[in-house]
Amino acid sequence: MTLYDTDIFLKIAITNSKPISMKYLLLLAIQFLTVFSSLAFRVSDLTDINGNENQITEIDFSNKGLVEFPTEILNCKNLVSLDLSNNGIISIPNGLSSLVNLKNLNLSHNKTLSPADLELVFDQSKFKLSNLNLSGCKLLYLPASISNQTDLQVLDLSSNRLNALPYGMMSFSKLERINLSSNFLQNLSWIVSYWWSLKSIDFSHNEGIQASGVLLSLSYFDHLEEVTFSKLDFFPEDFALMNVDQLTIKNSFIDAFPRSGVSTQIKKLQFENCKFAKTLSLVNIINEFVKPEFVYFSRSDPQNLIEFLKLEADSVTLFELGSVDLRPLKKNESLKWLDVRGNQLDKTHITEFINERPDVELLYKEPIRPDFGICPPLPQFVSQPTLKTIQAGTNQVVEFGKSLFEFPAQGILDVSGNIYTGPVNLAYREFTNPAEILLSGITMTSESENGETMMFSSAGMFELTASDDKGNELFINPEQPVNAEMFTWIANPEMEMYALNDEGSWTKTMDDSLIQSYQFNDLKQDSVMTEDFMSKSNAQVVFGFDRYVPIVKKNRKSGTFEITLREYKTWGNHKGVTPGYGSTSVFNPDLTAKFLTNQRFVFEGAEAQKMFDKVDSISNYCDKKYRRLKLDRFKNNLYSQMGPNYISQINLMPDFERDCFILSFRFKKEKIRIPVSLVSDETGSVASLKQNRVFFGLYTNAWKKTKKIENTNQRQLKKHITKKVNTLKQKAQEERIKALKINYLDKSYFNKPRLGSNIRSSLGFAFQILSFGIHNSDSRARIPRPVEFSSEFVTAAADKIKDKPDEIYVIDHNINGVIQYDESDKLMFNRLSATSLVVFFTSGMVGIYNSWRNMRTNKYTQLELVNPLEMTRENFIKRICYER
Amino acid sequence: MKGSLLLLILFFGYFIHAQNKKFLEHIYSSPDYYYIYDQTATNQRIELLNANPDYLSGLFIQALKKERIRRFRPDLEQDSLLNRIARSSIETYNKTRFVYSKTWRQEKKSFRYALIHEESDHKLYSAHAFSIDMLDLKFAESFYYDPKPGTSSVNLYFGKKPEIRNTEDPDYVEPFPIQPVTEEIACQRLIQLLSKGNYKHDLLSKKFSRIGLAIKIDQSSVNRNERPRIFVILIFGGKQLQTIKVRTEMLNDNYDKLDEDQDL
Repeated sequence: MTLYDTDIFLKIAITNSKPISMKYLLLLAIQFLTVFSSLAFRVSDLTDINGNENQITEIDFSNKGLVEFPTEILNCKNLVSLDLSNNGIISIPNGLSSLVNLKNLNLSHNKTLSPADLELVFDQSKFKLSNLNLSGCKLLYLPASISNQTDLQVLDLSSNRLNALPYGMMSFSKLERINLSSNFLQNLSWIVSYWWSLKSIDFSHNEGIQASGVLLSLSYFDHLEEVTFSKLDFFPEDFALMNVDQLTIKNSFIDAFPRSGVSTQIKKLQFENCKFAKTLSLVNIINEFVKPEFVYFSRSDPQNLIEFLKLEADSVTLFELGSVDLRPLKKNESLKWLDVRGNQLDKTHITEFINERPDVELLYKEPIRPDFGICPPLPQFVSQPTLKTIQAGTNQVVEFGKSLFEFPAQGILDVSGNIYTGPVNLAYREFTNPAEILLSGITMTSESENGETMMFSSAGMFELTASDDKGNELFINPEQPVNAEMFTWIANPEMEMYALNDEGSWTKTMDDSLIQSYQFNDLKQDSVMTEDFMSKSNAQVVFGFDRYVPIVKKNRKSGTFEITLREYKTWGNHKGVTPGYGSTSVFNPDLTAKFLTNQRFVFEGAEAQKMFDKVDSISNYCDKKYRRLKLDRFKNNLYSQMGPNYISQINLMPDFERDCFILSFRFKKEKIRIPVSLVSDETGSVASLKQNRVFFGLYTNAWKKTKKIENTNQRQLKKHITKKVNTLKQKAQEERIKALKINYLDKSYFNKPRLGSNIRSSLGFAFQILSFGIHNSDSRARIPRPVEFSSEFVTAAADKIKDKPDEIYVIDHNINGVIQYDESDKLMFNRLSATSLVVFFTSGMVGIYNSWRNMRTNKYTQLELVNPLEMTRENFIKRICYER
Repeated sequence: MKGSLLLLILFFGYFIHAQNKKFLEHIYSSPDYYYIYDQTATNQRIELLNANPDYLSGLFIQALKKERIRRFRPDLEQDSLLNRIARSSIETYNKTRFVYSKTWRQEKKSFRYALIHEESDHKLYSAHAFSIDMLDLKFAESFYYDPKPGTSSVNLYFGKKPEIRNTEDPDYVEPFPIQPVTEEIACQRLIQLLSKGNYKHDLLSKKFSRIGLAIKIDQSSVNRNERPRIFVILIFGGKQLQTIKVRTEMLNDNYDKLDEDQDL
């Protein structure tokens, strides 16, 4: 809760003269809770840990140039979030597993990370992660012990080298979002069926994956939010039953789109780099059965898309298609939004389109107003430069903030153009985060080669000026430019160096090069080691089970509800471990469930009707879904091995206190427990003492047999895997890999003497500067999904703000960009990104909107008002950036 | 003829079903009963016309508990749900349903469903219905009924009905009144009855730990030329899973994992 909110609350509490009600007491309690929770804080510097170990809940050591895991972290027992992304960490200590409260772990882009250490940490873990990011770690296999993290909700494994996922991952019933893109995965369809909470999956760019098989498994889910895939071989027929909100298809050849009358609407349909055949029928099917609201095409052949322009979607985006003809789109009556930025467009077509379809919001260029020069919105918050004095005439390295400058001996000239050797007063300012950029007032728009105004995505900006001891301006010798390095958090190789010219616009000066300190050199990697890894990861295991469904009915005579189990045979006479070419299949027959199929049970308790309805709906649901899996060619009622298994972990145990049995099973992610009594088959009435005893004795025998088979299968599987994996002792092998990884790091970068500085970073840009002034490492960026802000501003208490806005800035935190608008402009922003809106009112107050914190509707935008006169610069920056 | 026969069968079928349903609904809607049994049986005769069935039930329960303790068996605990079931059955069922063993055996099945519905902690049960003779007279000895107000509280007298009714007649014999049994004797008769056959097995069985009971005075036998009696429905209860043994590995395997989740 902010100070502003607290003031309001206190005002309410003081002005209210009535006796304090329960409502206010509750509010007070919430207030105190939030105050106490705010004692926990975030740390992004190693030195801040000492003394605050118990208070720290969040540590962000991303991009710090770490090669070793900072052991100080292990003392922070209350740690919840740990971000160690973009470093060169190899080894992770086992002590990490003892951080009980850890929920979010980000180890992404540590290209040298040891999977063996990860295996140990997850194996001994006392924490239950909900968010794990291992993207870009170049992992050759995923440790099997990751399956202990059964509470995982978000998992990012993109940009690794995974061949298979550990079979234990089928226990991730709470997993909601998973990114498996850019790997070498082949068989995903069986394991996907077990992630019952899944909402979003991306399995694009996996060489050799059978996307159709995964789509078949996904078609059994009730509802998915987002599915992304590439290189689709063909659409399975069951794709018609898939219920998904957003579908992204990449790099595929599409000649059919099997949707029918039973299909649900796909709200967003995206095609990236796709080729089409039979376009007319495709368009008809999409119009009739898919009914998308938003369609996106990029990098496709525009000739292929002529038919697609007949799609009856509300909004259409055509991106990087080359030349696009807008005329066919004029006839599309449902069209309300058309985004054709980044294409070659005929200007006459645009004017025609605007005239004929004024109801359509056409976006043919970036919705940004060009801006020039420097105009700080709050002059009192302009940062003061750091001053240093050097003696020109010798080679030297000067360090400022996050930058290093290497001045050559004859690198500085005076006003008359002669080489200067006297004392040089250097003044340096840097602007790395969007709030600093905003307060600097430096323009962040640039005109592209096509004359289009675009926003800058900045990796960092600095201003370096030089003067002699008399205050005369000095210049850089163009023949001997200054070598510079700037450390950043953006690893975008497309970024280039720009300098602000006298006219107040940006001009490209020189190319720069991205430094990735801990780039793992793949070429040096031991081929034998790779083979070992690959063989280990190739040991993919597919587990098989028979399916069981509860069947319920009502006994009219006694008025009770009865339950039985029905078996759906999936694996027939298949037994044990069967090694295959791609994967090894293991079938564990559940003899306890099979034994229970012959028994009838009566629901216990007065809530039996409610339970009956619930189990009946489950039964109908399973029956309906399994019907699609029936194999007609077999007479013995055999069902397909592919597809989901909705009911698992069927178990019966006595509850001695309640004096009944508890029949329990898992339906999807939900665990269901039903108190039941056994019904005697002979008499049809509830079983006697002896019948109960005999029945449970037989059940125990069945359980023993099942366990015996499971153990035997496990032994066989272990034997089989060890056969596959190299005969080398695993531990020795892992140690060898670690040692090799350390050797493979490009150490030459660290051995440069100029880097004996305090700067710790993993990413940076190296470039040359030819003049003093303001320099910026940028790339021109587009707003991917521009959405309009409402310029009706209200306070947190929903009161309308009467002040007139003077200047309005929109900040995109993800790309580090700042755009300025007038009141007359439409306030556009990227809704996929973390965004802030800073409004400077004529009264001097400043309104701040943060997308992760404040409300926004079509009618109004909620602002939190702050008075900059009562704040320090640091607090103002924190208010905009850090409270995320 | 065939049609009417079918209708008749259907009617009976409905009637039987309705009896069962009526009984179960009665149980589900009636409150719990708990008898007070802190008083011991005395030598006072039971006034059948104004007898308090709850008081008698308390005496019987105490007598049964004492008998169990005397025979070194675990004590019986009074179960309010079993009392409720016994009372409901004695109130809703026709007399013939628990007098004849065949019908009684059928009706007893409904008790189990009542126990299941009410989520009883003791689902094993054994129910008995029997009557107790309340007349203080040996079996097969003759007696007669005289409705005129006299010395007997139940208007029954020993011997054959005298022909001379005139009190002034010199041959007139003063009738010998027969009284109902005392509380002690009633309890003794209950114990004696339960010490035979199947009853004996259940009374002394260690598998039962609960007891429920209900009493109804047979009004058709009072103030008539019949031996007055009371109907008793006695239900013994126990744990149905008491003989089951669970391996610890089974408990560790699955059951603990499910404990963290809620029921339906």
